[in-house]
Amino acid sequence: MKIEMTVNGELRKLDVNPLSRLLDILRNDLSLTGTKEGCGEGECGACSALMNGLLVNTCLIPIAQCDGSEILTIEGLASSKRGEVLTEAFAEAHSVQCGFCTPGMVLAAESLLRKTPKPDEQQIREGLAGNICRCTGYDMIIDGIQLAAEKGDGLW
Amino acid sequence: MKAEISSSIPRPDGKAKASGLAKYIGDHDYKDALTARFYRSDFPRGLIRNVSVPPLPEGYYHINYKDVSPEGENILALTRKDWPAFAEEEIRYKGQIIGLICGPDPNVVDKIIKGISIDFKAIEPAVTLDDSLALKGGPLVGEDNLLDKITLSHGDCDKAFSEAAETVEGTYETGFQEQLYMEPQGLVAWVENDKVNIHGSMQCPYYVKHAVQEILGPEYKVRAVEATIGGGFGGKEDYPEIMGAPLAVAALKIGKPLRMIFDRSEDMAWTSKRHPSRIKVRTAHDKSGEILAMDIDCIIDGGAYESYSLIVLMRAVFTSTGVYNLPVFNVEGRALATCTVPSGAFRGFGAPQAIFALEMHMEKCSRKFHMESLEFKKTYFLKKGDATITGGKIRDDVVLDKMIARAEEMSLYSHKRKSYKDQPWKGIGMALFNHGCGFTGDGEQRIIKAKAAVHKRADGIVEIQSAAVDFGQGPRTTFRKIVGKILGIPPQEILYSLPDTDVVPDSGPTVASRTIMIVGYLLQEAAKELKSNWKEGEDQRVLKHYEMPPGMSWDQEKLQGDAYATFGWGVNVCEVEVDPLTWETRVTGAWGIYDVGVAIDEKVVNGQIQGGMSQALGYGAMENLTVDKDGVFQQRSMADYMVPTTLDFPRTGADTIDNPYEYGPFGAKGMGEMVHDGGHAAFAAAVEQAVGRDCPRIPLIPETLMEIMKK
Amino acid sequence: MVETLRPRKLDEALTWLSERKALPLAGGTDLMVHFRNYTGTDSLIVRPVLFTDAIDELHSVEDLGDSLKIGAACLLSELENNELVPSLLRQAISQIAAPALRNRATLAGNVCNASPAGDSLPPLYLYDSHVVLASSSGTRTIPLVDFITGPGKTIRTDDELLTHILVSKSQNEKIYYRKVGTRAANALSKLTVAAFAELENNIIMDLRMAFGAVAPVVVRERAVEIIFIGKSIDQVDLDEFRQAYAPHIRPIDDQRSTALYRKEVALNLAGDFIRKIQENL
Ligand SMILES: Cc1cc2nc3c(=O)[nH]c(=O)nc-3n(C[C@H](O)[C@H](O)[C@H](O)COP(=O)(O)OP(=O)(O)OC[C@H]3O[C@@H](n4cnc5c(N)ncnc54)[C@H](O)[C@@H]3O)c2cc1C
Ligand code: FES
Ligand code: FES
Repeated sequence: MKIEMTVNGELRKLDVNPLSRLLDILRNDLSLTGTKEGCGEGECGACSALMNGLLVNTCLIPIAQCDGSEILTIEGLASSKRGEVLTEAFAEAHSVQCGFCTPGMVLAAESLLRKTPKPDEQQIREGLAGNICRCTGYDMIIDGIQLAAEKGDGLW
Repeated sequence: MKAEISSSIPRPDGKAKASGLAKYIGDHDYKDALTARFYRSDFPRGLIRNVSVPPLPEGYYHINYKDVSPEGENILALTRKDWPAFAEEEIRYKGQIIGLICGPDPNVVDKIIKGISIDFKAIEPAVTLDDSLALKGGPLVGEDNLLDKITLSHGDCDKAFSEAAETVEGTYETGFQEQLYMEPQGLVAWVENDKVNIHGSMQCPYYVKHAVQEILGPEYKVRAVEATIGGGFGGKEDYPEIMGAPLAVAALKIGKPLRMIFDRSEDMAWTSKRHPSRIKVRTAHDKSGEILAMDIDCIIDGGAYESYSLIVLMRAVFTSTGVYNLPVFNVEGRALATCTVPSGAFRGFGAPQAIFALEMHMEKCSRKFHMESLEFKKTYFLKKGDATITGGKIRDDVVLDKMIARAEEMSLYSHKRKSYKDQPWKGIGMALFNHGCGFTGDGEQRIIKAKAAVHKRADGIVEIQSAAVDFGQGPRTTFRKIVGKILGIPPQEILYSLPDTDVVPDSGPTVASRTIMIVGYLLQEAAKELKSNWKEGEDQRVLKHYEMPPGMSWDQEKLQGDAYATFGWGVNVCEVEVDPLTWETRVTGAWGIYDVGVAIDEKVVNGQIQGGMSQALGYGAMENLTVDKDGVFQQRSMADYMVPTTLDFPRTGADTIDNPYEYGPFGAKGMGEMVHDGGHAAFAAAVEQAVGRDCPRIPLIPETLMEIMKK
Repeated sequence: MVETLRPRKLDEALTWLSERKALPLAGGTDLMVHFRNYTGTDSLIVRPVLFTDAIDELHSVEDLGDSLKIGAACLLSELENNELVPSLLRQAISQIAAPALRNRATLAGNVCNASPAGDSLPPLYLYDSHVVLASSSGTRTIPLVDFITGPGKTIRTDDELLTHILVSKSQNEKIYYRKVGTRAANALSKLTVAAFAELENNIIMDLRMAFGAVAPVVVRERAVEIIFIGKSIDQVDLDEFRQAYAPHIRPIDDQRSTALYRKEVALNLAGDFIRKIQENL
């Protein structure tokens, strides 16, 4: 089937299997490989993106449901001012170890900061509850988000 | 005062990873690559009579042991050659690799695999340690199912027990644990100009090269290239060989690039896990409670083949008296074969099991003699000059006292320990441990022979050449800092490409907490030499070879001498509350204080401490992994195998006490694994205080705790 | 490739559904996992799929005075933040999975999935909720207890779509909700307990309790509730209360927990509910 969606601000027209996962379309058809597959079943958050402004797991979304939607992936976010602040804060705070969870974490952080620009530790923990990181124990991810909130004051 | 080098720099690899630019193996676009997938035995034990594969459409391939060339050998070149890369006749565990199906369309490959049927003669599987001891179905290995056995003793243990006023005995058990690196296993293989290339997610490029070389035979050239790697924790130490060897056979036969990226379900079901353990500890005491002797019977579950069981067992046995100086002891260690996925490497490598048994036993003894456990333990602390369990020597200062003082300051351990005596369902526990840095015994000298180089190009740009892989633990940051500091170059400006065995020297595998201490030291020395010899505008390369620190000795036959050049030390504290309605535990505080020599980067080290604590607490509290009657893991998805989320554990208070080591770069020692050695024991000790019962088994999931409480 | 339709109008959806006997897919958080195959391969769904997420009529939460009519396309995250929704139900929803999942998953999907561990079900049972089923030949409204007949089983026929869920608006004072999951967040339930009580001068005017994941369907026993209604709360004997529920709690062993644990803890929590009220008198 034919669908249209806006990905990172750009209108994309695609001919797809309606049940293909948004994750696969992003990675394979659009070469946006920053979105990762950690589990393929909604458990890890590595595949996070924003769909119409909401944080979602792209491994669970049939592409047909994306027709007419707006998708923001890590590539789009990272090239914005907010994304730059977030990714630099993550590097500075050592929120990144192996990095496989990180794009998803950054998206989850973006989604949280949009609602709560100055989150406390508990709010961050709740906002990130669907994103598994096996490396960091999360503490430095929390530091990174707080650092970004501080450095990017006014951006969210 | 902390060393100057410890002050942290932003992670050089941080931004690219956070922005989604770093390329993991699955992100590389191998346009014409065929999908490659294993098919596996669907029964746990027996003899294959026939494998029938549905007719293959054009462009699809079936590869099995018959495709191994006569110059090669159908075997996995791990520590012992007992494990065929492709099963031929004998099957020892459900999920054993029999062959591969390759082809352009993943759907077709999937369908072919689902259509394969295997005719076999079944043999009763021995799934548990008890099955194995009872030789259920007949011996799987040798005559007694023993993969490995080692013993260590000192003094007259029998005499001590016969003269003891009291004896204390306990059996301590730990379960399987899944590494759950976030990036599943993945490799791509292709042949180019007669060279077999393997690109992918691996901790040890040279191990992969070696394993592929062995299966293909000496006439082929082999190259292994690292892609950015999404976590390993030991899980990508052996598995890329297990996966890469058969994949290379297929790539050579088919002549096209092959891409094998595991689905999470395949990864969880069939890759190696941490060895479960059952450790029986007995101590002989005099009237006052003083320990006269310790007798340890340590069994680990090695699974169906040897893999790294001997080395894991050695680490477990050599760690079994921990930070204590016990003059009389006897330790027997056995690795048993069972019909389960061969157990493999996981951060800590036998030490977390041994430390759990030891620390829980020390708790038990202290209760028996009505002593505060920390006071009880202090009597036996090792100090500089003392003998190690293998008759080697503690060569460096032991700063346990300072570490404990820091732990007290941060956690208020003793104060809380006392006050929780009167508060039901609350507890705090402490675990103490050390971890030998680098390979066990003379492995570095005899087997690995590490090399690393610093290269200065004519244009003045400096490059690190090492096969050490950064799977999150930080060498991309720390190596650059070491070399940069010596040469006076900002770390970010130093090049450090992903290791490629055609380019970098063999600095050994990225395992055993050896990267900083061994490879980092070689780089430090190379940088020093380069500096003293720096010639502007010239291309210069300084290669350094590993040398055993002076005075060290090791007898591999008798297992006597310095099993480790030095040790890292740790103090973990954990505080819990137990809900008596649901037996759920809630960790309310966790602290890790370490002697890592010197931290090359404070945040890299603290990140290891916090991440390790999270895994260790997961191991102790929630990571339940059990097998069914066929020896198959029952928790095979992330919905069923529970690793910690953001909401499970609180922030880990992390700190280090400087204690520079002479043969480490800037005084640094190894630390990547020991951060997983004690958190689970501190947790269980805390739960014991909270519930007032012995908790000798982890994971202490609520179901287990309920069972303990209802006894 | 399977046939799919993603209509905006309910009429169109119902016509197509009756023609194709299609599989309704709302958020897909159950279906995409259930029909998932090895990474890189196609979904295992072979039936035509009707996407319900774009149907305009199913997006609203309508206030009917003493009850709410929740559209089948309403997301869990919307309901979690909607103050008209009974707080007990909101509490249960807020503990389902994690934020990203609640941004796709629907209440209707949780109900139609009919898992014994479906977390919205115990609160919905407490409020005597109803479901509205529509087909091209008409609609019917039936009590939720009659709708779900077993694990994964409902009385929905192939041409019917669940269009709405009717929930009472009551906001009770003494509510109790406890999810015992496999970990602190993003966890499936080992068991859940939801309950509320209405008191007047310490006399129990109403008392309701429901248990999830301890039997093939949610356990709610009006007959047990009635035993205690009319009594003074301080006279309820905890042991007697537990015993009254004991025969109805019939859990199983699985990879997430044991029958023994589920039963013991369910009864502990039942007692805890009464004890908490007694303590706060
Ligand atoms: C990672 C993860 C965590 C989860 N955690 C929890 C949890 O903690 N608690 C919990 O209860 N559940 C949990 N779930 C299960 C699932 O998310 C919920 O059941 C969710 O509410 C399903 O809603 P959905 O819209 O995604 O359903 P879908 O997957 O779209 O559909 C589910 C079922 O309902 C049917 N259906 C949907 N809409 C209609 C309709 N209008 N008419 C008729 N039939 C319909 C579908 O055909 C299907 O059979 C989890 C799932 C995942 C993947
Ligand atoms: S890959 Fe989507 S949640 Fe794990
Ligand atoms: S950094 Fe490795 S999983 Fe988070």
